Amino acid sequence: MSILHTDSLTKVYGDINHPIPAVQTVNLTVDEGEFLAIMGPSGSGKSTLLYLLGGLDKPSTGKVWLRDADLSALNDDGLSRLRRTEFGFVFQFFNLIPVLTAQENVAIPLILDGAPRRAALKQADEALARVGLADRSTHRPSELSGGEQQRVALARALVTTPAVILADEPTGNLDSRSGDEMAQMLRRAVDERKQTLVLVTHDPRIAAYADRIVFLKDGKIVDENRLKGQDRAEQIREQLTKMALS
Amino acid sequence: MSVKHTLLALLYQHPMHGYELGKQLNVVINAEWDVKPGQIASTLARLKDAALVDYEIEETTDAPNRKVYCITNEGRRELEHWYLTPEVREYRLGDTFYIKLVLSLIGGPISPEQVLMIQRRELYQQLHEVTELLRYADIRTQLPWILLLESATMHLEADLRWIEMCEARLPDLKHYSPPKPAPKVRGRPRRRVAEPLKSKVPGTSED
Repeated sequence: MSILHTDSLTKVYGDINHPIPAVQTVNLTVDEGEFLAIMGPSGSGKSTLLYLLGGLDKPSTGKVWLRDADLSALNDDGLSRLRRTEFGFVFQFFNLIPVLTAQENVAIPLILDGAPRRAALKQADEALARVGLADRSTHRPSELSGGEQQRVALARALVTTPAVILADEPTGNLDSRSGDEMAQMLRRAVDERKQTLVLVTHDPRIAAYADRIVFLKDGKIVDENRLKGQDRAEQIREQLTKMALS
Repeated sequence: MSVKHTLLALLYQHPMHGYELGKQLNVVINAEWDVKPGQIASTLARLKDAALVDYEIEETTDAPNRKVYCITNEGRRELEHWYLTPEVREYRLGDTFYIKLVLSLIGGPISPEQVLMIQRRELYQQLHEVTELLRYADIRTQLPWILLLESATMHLEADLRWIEMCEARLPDLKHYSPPKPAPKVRGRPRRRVAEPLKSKVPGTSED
């Protein structure tokens, strides 16, 4: 069951005389409940592709479909509303509002959507509990570590229970331990709540959590790797535990 | 792995007989143990000869007498020395994939891009499986296994980063051509050829 679908998606920056193709005729389908990683070298167009998928950017040509909604057919208001209700975003730089507490930061998307303040704050607390920060809800970002701030950003992305989570290098600013924890939390969101996750990363360790990896180069998909359902755990286990004896 | 030192490390805890040592080995290291039953016995015999262990005969009424081994002071010193000596790390750097990649650079049925892609796919699949195994490992009871899985993760990560670097270098590698082997000198050695006369062409400079 496909939830995101692109048709000859193209984004060109610059002008007629000096066009800079960022994404070139990309045809991509993401299934509901799938964890897809997009990888590629710097400048391969992976972040641009992610923003196009989430309606944060408009394509030059081609289309993006969320289920049967054509994003290009929506006006600004419609797109805004769709983004708020269907998508959750996690970026590399946590983008938290420094004067608000963790709880208030997480409640913002709900308040923007018209929820009453008390209900929004309560839901925010639940989202914070899901990322293991229930006891830090009254702290401001400056009182939290990088890993904790990113978890607050994740809670904020999850609080509206979006159908699709789009994450752009969410572990880029974290040490490997925090990065691993973040990847596991994202994996759990997909497994437990059947949310769809599209994640841009250059870190192989994080990409390994995905069901599928798509490789971009110069704005085009050059390779695809299905990771889920291989059933090689036993083989790997044997490989690792056979030790040479002397 | 060193059977000798493994047995010393176990006997350092408390004396044991041979059968117990075998069982403890499986439990502590949590690895598949391919050793033949005789190997523990023969290693113990060598340790006894080297005075690193000693034994007492335990007499039981309903079973054959058995040897209970214990570590000696010499054995303790040997064990300490082993711990204090770093292990030699062998890296399979010049392995089969490396050779394959270099050969693909000089031309062949499959491009170096494809060779890299195929290897990358395999490594990601392994990394995915190892990551899954890690997710379900229990830190309270499987710590040695977790350490092993994390080691595998990091080695696979390193391999993948190297592949990424090779891919980034491909444009340079396209201009690579291996040095030609020096031509083999054949036949009888010739007389030294006299230097050719400098031709005096009008209008050209001599220097």
